[in-house]
Amino acid sequence: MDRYQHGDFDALAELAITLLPKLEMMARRRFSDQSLAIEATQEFWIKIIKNAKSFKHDSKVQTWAIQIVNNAYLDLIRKERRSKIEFDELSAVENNANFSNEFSEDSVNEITIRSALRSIPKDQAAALTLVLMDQFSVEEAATILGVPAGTVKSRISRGKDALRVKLEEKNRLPGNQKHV
Amino acid sequence: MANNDEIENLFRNLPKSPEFSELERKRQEKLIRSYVADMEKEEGLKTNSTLKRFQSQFSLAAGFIVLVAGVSFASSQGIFDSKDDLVISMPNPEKPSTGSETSEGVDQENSGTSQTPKPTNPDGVEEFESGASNQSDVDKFINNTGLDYLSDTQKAKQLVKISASPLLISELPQAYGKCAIELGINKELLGIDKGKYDGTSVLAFYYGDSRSTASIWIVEKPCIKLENL
Repeated sequence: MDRYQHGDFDALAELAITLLPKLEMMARRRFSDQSLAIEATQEFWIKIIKNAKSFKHDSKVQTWAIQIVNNAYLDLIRKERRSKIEFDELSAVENNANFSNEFSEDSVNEITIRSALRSIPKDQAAALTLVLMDQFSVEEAATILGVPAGTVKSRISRGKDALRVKLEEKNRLPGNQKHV
Repeated sequence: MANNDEIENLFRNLPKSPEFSELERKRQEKLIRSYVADMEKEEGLKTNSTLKRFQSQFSLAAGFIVLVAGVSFASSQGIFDSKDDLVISMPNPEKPSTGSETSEGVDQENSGTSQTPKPTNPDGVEEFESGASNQSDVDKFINNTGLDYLSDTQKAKQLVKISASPLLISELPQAYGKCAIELGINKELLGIDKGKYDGTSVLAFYYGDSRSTASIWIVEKPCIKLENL
């Protein structure tokens, strides 16, 4: 990172390539569809490259990169809001006999989680994804987010409450009672 | 009602996408290298154009200095001392007025507009500049609530004026337009607010389809993303 900030672009490319396995893993955890995971990986390294100039050397590069990737994921799913499946649309999909075979319960859960994550405050969603999806400890998540561990705990707790409400709303929709 | 364990299980049991193939990994590496190479080229072009601009400004300044030196040399040699030359170059305030000029003067006195006179031009005729502001419509949607988006988001949302349709980036101050493009919201930008975030001065970019569904990007200068609300 130092080398890039002193004008060495090859060093930036090397850094992004070194981070690729980590980015791939985070993308695969977030999207079960491989083409989406590939797209997300690409979006992740673009964000890292674009933000590299503003890296302030106050954390490890990997910690900084994970935060950027997690934010990029939350931005991606927020952008989906206008174009992809919402709770009510999901319900319609599930009730549609033509599509019922194409949506496994797992993928319905994935869509449900994504819908719920984009409808709760971003700081809570960020803490939830790092701890529950990526399995980071609260302390590690605190380092990544640059906040005290207590703040992460309270964000997770509030996030779970908010998610519970959102999932409950979803369950009230016809055809969705079985998933949570 | 889902309990904590159920929510945690829901996350834990999310299906993963299959591992990427070696071919896909190689493709990503190639993409990274070409993306960074393009970026380097762009940076190089920017540096070159800045250098060219500096060079042209420098040659302009040098030319001006040579001109001034030439004129002062000529005047020290008495080349411009002819009285005829002086008369020709001076404006003539005593020039007799024509009928049309008089009526123009009356019109100006009676119009009652906020026009302000500029210094006379070399022909002794006053030039006027309209007092009306050229403020563009977009300026109405650049707010300055000064509110803290960490604690007063709802209040800010109510106070901030946002456009019913996306703003034209070309009409925004350059830095704002550039930032909107960087944020990827240039086609759905509805308004901007100057405020705070946890005490830090920030800009809030409102974007989306309407006030009720608008999202907000909080950025610190020059365009560092802080939060998406």
